[in-house]
Amino acid sequence: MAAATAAATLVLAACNGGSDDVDPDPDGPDQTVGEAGEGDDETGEPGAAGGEFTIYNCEPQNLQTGSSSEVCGSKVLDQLYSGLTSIDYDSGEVVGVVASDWETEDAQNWTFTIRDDFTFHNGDPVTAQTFVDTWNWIVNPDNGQTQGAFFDKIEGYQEVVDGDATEMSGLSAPDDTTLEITLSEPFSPFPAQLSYTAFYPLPEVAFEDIAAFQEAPIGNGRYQMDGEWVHNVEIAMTRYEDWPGDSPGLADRIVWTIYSDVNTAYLDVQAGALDILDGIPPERLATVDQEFPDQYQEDQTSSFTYLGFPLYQEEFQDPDIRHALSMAVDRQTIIDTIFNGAREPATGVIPPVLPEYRGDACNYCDFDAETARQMYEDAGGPSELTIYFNSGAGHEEWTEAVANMWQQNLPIDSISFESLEFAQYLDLHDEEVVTGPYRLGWVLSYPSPQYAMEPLYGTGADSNYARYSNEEFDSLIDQANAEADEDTAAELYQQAEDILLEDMPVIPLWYETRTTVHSTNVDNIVVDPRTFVRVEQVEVTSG
Amino acid sequence: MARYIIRRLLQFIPVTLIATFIVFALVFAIPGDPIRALAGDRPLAPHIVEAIRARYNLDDPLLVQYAKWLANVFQGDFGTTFQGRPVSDIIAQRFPVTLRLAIVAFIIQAVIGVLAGILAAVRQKGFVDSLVQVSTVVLVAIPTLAMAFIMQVVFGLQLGWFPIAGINQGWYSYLLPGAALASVSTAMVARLVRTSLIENLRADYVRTATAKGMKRSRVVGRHAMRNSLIPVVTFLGADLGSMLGGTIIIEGIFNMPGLGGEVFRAVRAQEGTVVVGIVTLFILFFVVINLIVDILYAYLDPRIRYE
Repeated sequence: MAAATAAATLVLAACNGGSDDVDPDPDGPDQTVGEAGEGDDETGEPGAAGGEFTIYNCEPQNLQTGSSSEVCGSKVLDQLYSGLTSIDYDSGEVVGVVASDWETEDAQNWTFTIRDDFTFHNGDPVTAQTFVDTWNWIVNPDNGQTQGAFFDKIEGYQEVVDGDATEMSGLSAPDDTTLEITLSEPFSPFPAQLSYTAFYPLPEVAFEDIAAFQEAPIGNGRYQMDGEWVHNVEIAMTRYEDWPGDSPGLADRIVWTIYSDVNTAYLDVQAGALDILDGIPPERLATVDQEFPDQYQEDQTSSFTYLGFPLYQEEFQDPDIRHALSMAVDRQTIIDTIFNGAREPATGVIPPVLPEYRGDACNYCDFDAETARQMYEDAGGPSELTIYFNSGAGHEEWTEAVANMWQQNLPIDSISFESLEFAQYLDLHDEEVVTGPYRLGWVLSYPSPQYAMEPLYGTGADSNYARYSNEEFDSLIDQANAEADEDTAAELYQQAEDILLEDMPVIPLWYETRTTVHSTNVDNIVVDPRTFVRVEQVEVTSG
Repeated sequence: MARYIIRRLLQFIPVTLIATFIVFALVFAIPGDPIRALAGDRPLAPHIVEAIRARYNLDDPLLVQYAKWLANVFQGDFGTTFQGRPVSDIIAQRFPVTLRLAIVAFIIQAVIGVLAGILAAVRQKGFVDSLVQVSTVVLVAIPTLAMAFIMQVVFGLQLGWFPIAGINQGWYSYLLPGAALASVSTAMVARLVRTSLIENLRADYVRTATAKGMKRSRVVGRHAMRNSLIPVVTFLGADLGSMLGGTIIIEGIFNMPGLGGEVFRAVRAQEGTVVVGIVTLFILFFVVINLIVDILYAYLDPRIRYE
């Protein structure tokens, strides 16, 4: 149970995310995707509809689109709701769902055309006004929705937050099928951002009592609730036959079985009582190929782990010190010995699941003990370090391995550890009292290199715990955000990444690969880079 | 007797007040902001943190928070989680699971423990006695956590006799976790009964009863057992308290939606109202059990009288 709770609050709570593009970069380092004989080799062929299956889930914190910050709730909401856009995982492109089309000339003023055939599960129509009402409601601080900050690019956001207005001036719905959005600055990844959970539409009834509503949310997605959310037991859903989209769900009924301990879920798959378990417990990785020879697969994700530097501390000012610390870590050895290979070494800060990824972006991410030692000595790096991490989330082992490598490869005499509960850990960062490298993670909420960089490294950004600031970087991100041409934007993002990797405010360590096991009852298991099993594509083969 | 019971029940009021206040203070003392932890690695906007803190009175001093909580309780409102779920709903949904688990475990340890103890005592130094002696040592030596996992793999996965997890199959689902929860205590009860019964069988009044020509089963059952059960009842009563702690582990491993898991989650999330609500229930439960134990004494030992 400890492990499960920890996972829920930490690894997963890392701002779950959507991200597109399943295609691994052919030039990238060894991919581990689906090397075992997984059963999903018929991907692309439409599967047979019908049947019912069970899939692992952790107990969601909530089922509120505006407050869902961890995967346990998000992956359920992802089925109950359809947003304006979503990501086509084959092409990596943003496609319309409730929006049939959108236009912009300057990436700042957007016009979305809304389809008129989407309805909520209670029959209410989904119109342009629905989105206006929903978004204004979520941003209003009185409603206590935690994900409101995702709307900060919409004009008038600040006025609503400050209590000077109840509606964002940048939103309007001239008629049922036209949604006009004005942003406070140009932002080309906007359609991709709209695929995120917080932007889903809510029916009127949700605003009356959101706490009661979340017990059986009424959405507009492929699947609808079958009864109420049975806390800590299950969330059942059936296909919504009036869903007008292109690829309705295959299975008639999906049951998310809630486990407090992943190990128990693993035993249940072995016993045949559970059909799908994504993200098996790490200690099972070594034997999974014997226990599930034909029923396991590995998928890349955007879940990124890094060690950041408190740049407000004197001893980390020199970039060479940061480069040396990065080069002194043998990522592959740690991945092999501690994670049983279930990570992919980071070669940059744009994850391999994005098309903008480059396998050779980082000059200081390859293990090179000699150069590292020389560089560290020349730069006069500190001989004592403290590594910070949050406790109870499985970070003990690998941070210790990193510490050992630093002591072995660099003139460092002693390394101590500071581990705290997560809430307390964040406080330390707020108060700027972190004195050494610290562990944090990031998952893409929507698939854009912008989201992989701006919130973490932009001057004054939300999650910029390193307090990194570089005008050139900021300006490249701004230019890329304003760039309508995708290829040019991609290039600009990559240039920004180059600056980051040269300045190295954080040491990129690795991206998680996720191992999924399943019973013989199901087939065609596709895991998207947001780490969600595409349950609507799962094919029930028996029963 | 009635006056005694009423007095005992009235004691519950100060005990609960003090205990809930201590729990409140302890949760309050956990460093870090529970609202910050709600959203994981991505920080919440300050205005949202403020709004939620205000909604849950988190900015009030401890005593004020406690007073507000208490005032609500007197109106039947046990507060809500940070997601707006009423604590009373959580308790209503999850208490039956924990209660059933505790009942099954209690029956197993009372029935099997007492029977094994009697058998071992009346056949002292025989085969059954040796078997009970050896197996109880083994059981006591295996921690509940390990025992639960072993039983899950052997009886659930390999033999397939019981479900591995969940509560889908009614009372049947509770047998395996109940046995795991009861394993250590069952062994203790068996040993306790054995020792105490052997001692009593040597007592003068037993010899007298036997000399009067009373049947062996009646001597053991009516006379020796009655005295031997006094320490056992004390143990069983006290053990129910520690069993509540054990449910946290067992409910986790067997994936049962009971109170144990909820306490665990709520402590981590620093949800004071949830922790206090459940702890209050545990206290109530504990006080009642102790009362029952004390009343049983009067039945078992006529020398004990209540005013």
